[in-house]
Amino acid sequence: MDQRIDSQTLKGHLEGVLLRELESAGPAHGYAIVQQIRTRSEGTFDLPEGTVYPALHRLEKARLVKSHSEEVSGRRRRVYEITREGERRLTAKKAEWRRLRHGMDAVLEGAP
Amino acid sequence: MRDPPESIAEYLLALCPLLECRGARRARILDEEVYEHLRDIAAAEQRRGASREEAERRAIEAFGRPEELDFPADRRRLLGSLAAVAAVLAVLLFLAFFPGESDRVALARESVDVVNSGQLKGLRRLLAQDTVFEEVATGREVRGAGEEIRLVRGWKTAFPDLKGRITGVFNDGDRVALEVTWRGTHTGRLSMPCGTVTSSGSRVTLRAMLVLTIRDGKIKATRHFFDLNALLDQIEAAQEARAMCRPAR
Repeated sequence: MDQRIDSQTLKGHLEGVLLRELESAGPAHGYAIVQQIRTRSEGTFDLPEGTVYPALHRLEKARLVKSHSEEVSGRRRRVYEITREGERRLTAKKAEWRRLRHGMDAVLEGAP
Repeated sequence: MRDPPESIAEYLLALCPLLECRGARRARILDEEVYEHLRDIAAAEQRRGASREEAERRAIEAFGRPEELDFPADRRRLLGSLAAVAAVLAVLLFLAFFPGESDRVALARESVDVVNSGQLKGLRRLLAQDTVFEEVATGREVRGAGEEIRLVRGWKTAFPDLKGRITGVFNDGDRVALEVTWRGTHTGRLSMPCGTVTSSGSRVTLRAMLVLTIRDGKIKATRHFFDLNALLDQIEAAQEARAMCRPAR
């Protein structure tokens, strides 16, 4: 059975996932972020890779991440890092997730 | 439905028109993000033994369709759109409270705009073939569109930066009166019926009235009123000029 979560389900949580990745792994470009998400989620989050960029742009617009251009081996790439505001948002997201998980567990796994 | 792109180049071409952003941000998305990311996936696929074409196809499949990439629009563009909406609303409100200007008034205004632009050939479209132009202050009167354009060109030669600002509009039947403030710098030779006044470099402001008769969508007659003495006073060669050019009586 396919254990992957489809991208629509993940969509509402993608920004939290991206903030978490940037917080734990430090500054990274989009391709590296996607690989980290895939590894950390053990293949569960297998989203269309391009969809991380609009999400990163939205985060940057909200000043939750910042980016700069970096040239590595003759290739110019956009590197993202989390901001202080992003870290605060991530803390709030984690609390929100705990409440959601508690609620979902209660509803889906609770006694009939 | 459009065929999915099969190469990285095709992908970028398909994505480009979908981006609601310009300039540096567009280049950043296409070059530093999408292109490099697709190259990374394709390189990984080639290391697994895929041909270049197959690697690019798999890269595109993993990356997602161009339509799935919902980048936020540029703020400037959004503001531009809001400004455009605001402008349209302002016009609609204006039209709701003030009856629309007649076509005649619009035509009269356009004649000043054409003079301001310096593209005087544009006057030909607005003038009747047998139009009559009377310059009351100097006593000049010319007939025909070509002659009127020549006369106006004389003013633009004397004052190349000449611009008229319309400060009042009056419409009565087929006549439109425009209250205009002309401003310009006297850097060219000013040809008058009485002679030519050499350039003075003076900055000149001249209040004037244009009375136009408009029929069948064309300017049939124009009378231009202004104070010639007020003009000459502002030109350094005023004494010389005044001696030459007495206002018409």
